[in-house]
Amino acid sequence: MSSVLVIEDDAPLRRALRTSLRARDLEVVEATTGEEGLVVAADRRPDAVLLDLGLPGIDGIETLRRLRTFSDVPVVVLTARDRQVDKIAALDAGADDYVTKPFDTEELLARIRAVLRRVPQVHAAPPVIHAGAVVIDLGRRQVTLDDEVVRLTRTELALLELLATNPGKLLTHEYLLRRVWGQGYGSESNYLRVYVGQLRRKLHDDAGSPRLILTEPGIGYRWIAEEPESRP
Amino acid sequence: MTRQDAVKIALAPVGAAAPVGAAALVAAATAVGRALGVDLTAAALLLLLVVLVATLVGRMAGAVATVLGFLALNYYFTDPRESLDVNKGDDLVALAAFAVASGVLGWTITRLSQLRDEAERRRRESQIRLDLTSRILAGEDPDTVLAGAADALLTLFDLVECTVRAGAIEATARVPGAAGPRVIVQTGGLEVELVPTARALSGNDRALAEALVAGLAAAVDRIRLEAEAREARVEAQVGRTRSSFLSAVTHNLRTPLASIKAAASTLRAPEARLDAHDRAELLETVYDETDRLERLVTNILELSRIRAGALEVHRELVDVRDLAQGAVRRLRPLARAHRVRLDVAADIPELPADVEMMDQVFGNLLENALRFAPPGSEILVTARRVGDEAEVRIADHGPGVAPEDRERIFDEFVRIDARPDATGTGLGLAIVRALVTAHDGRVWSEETPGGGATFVFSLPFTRR
Repeated sequence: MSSVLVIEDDAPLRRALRTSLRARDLEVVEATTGEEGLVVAADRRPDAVLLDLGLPGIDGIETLRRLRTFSDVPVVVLTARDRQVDKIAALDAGADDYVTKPFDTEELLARIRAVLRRVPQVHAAPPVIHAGAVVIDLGRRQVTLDDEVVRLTRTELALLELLATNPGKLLTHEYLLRRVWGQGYGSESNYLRVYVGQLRRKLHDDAGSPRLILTEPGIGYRWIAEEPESRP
Repeated sequence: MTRQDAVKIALAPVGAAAPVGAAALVAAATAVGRALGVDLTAAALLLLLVVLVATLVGRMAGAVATVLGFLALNYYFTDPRESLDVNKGDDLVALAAFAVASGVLGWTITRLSQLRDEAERRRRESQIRLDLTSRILAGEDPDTVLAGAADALLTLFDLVECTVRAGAIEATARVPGAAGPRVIVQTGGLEVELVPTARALSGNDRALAEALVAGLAAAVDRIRLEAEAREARVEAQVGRTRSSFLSAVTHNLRTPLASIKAAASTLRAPEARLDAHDRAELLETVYDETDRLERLVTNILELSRIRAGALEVHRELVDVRDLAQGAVRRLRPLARAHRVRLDVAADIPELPADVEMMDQVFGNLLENALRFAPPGSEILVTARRVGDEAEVRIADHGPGVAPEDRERIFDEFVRIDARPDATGTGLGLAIVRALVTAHDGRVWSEETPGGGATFVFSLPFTRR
């Protein structure tokens, strides 16, 4: 049974989350402040963390920063703020995903399951990623679509590998730019628009109803291709 | 334009009569000397005259007296008489001595008096500058500075009227008296109208006035900029407060909504495995949080109405005891576990207050105390008279308020409740403060002797 650490200061919400997560066979540990959350995270080593951004004392972002100094546990942030900057700050500080309050627990569970699934893949990334008709061979650095080799530039390939090895995770513009283009980059989201457009065209992915790369407007991109094990 | 031309003409002709008077004096002295038939005396008298004229009247008159005196001595008192010729070498020396002595004396004396005048003028100037500067510094807004400047200029230049104009604002100082020609000085954005007494403004005074007005213009500019900056700061602060209030409202409304939606969505999710206890708990969350949301909405509306000034205070004379008893009665269901004691001094007159609002003030404070104080503890409500105010204290023996939070606790959405089941709206005390302030009263918090929080509010007996 996977365990989830809920760091949330509001008592009724904490209680509702506890019951809701337990009803889906998740073990729940709780903390009411960032400081307490860090101690529990170090102590109990949960499989995922649900973190409220508006905490008293050290806030959610700071908690996340400190958490990332000793753990790469998947983190979904809960935020009552619908401001884009807060979400981006949380994602840049190392969050895997976010859910805006008020939320449906079905939606929250889907996010939590996605980040829980991500864990083994990160540590033992399969050399070959299957995504529908697309096959990405990480070892040979070759991409095929319906068994035909797709010609990609080095930048396109780097971007595709980064997205595909982080399935389900929302990667921010800044993160993608820094990882693919280099440290000096971070604000050139127009580059990403161009390169993601080229990837979609070459891999026959429709931006209107994408099967591979999902655009999170103003924030970043997410690899949403079906998991290999869920294929027939 | 025409006014300024008139000013120049008025200022130009000053003291043309002095040399004429000097000439008349010399003629008179000569006549006296001739009548008495003396010559040395005449010379001495004329010398004295020149000195006097130069001292009292000025350089021009002194020079006229010197020349005329020399001619008169030569013509009337040296041989040959009634001629400008001179026979004796002795007389020539005397005449030369007279000319040199009176010339040097006259020049020296007029120079001295000029220096004295100059010093006097400088002293007056610095006095004027000092006075004006202190008035400018004393004024905080352009209006008072202009009024102060007009006043200062009026006294210092001995005017009957002085108007200082800066853009749309102007100030006039006036004393009764005959008005002389009007002088207008313009510098920077400042226009100053000086109306002297019948005696026209001297050239020196005019120059001084111009210098002063230039300084004044700079000062007014500075003060206006400062006032504008201050206003902008206040406005920015108001804007910040408003937007932070809005974001706090949003955050606080979303929190109970999040609990409700989380609980409800789990209740209806087909895959969630819930037992009877889980279901009851989730339903209770939905129910409680709906209550909390409703309290929040009511409080936010109430606070917004008070802040917008839309809530009218209907004052009538009310009895403090009635108010306190009413609140205690109303909160009895909540107060079952506590002992609430009421102690109202007998000499408290009735208060001019809005009954409904005061009811809420008492209610919120009492509810707060009941919520924090441990069951079985005593909550003491006292009311007494302090000067011309009624002071009401609600003392509990709960966890108390840390000194650094005692001011802040009245701010919106500030909750210091660290208990895990805390569900306050964070608005109760903010509403208390707004209501008490609307009654010209004050509210603050103290420590209860022996531990706990005491909330105190005071209301004036007479409306201020």
